[in-house]
Amino acid sequence: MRRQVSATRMELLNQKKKLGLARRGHKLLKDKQDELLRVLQDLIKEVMQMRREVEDELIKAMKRFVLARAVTEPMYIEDAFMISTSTFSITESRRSVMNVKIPVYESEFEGLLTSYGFLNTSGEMDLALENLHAVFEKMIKLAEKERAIILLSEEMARTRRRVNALEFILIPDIEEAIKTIYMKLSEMERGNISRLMRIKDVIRK
Amino acid sequence: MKIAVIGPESGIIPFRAIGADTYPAGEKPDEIVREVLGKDYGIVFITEDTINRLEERKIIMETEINVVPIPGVGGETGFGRERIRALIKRAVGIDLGGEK
Repeated sequence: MRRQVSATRMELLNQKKKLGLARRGHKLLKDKQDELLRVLQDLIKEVMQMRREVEDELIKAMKRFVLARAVTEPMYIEDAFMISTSTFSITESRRSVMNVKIPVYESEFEGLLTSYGFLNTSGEMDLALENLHAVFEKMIKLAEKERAIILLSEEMARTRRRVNALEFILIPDIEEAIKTIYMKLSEMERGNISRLMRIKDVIRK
Repeated sequence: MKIAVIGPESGIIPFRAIGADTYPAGEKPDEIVREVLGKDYGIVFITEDTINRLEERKIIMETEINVVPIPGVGGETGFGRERIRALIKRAVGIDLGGEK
């Protein structure tokens, strides 16, 4: 695509200024993209490992729970969990990574883990719950990291689009405009010189 | 903010004991998920088998709430890792999450 530019010295200067700006912007964005990629790479490695750990532990904890449940009367199970007094809540604050606001969770646990009577449930159950509680903390950390990945990768896509727009559209466009102006100006200059030479010739005779 | 867990009734009971809100997915998981996402939860954990039963997976992708897949009673199906991989692939253009 060629844009209409008037072939004047003024316009040439303007376009050159614009080109400088675009190049600087491009370099900055490119740097941002590289840094984002680096951060993302680290995060992904971490999350993939963490996820595997959490999944394994969660499955283990669940198995424990199922076992504990097997040795307890079903109606007591219902009872035991009906009256849970505990609340698990999180407070979310934000941390800025590459100007992307990613969440940081602070977990808070209130109440008793085992709020049921000890008579009708086995000790296995207490252990299973404690287990699960520990995994849950990790799950929250995992959630935090995964959210960060999602947000950062969105930013990454945006940055990539901008870098590409600058690199493949805006900058070549301006370069072409500059070339056009330059050629037109030098053509005019040549025209002028030959005209002067011709006039000089006419006057001399 | 509170935390919600969605999944099959039997698999999510213990989460109630450790202080999360639990929602059994039941027959129509889509409705439950939509309802939960409409509330003010900080994190929503959904078991993978529930996700697989969703008619519209879009609803868990396009939300401001942090939705995290967890393995269900039947073990993990790899959806959690797959999700991250797909995301990265779209954003970066390269497959970064591959097994190394």
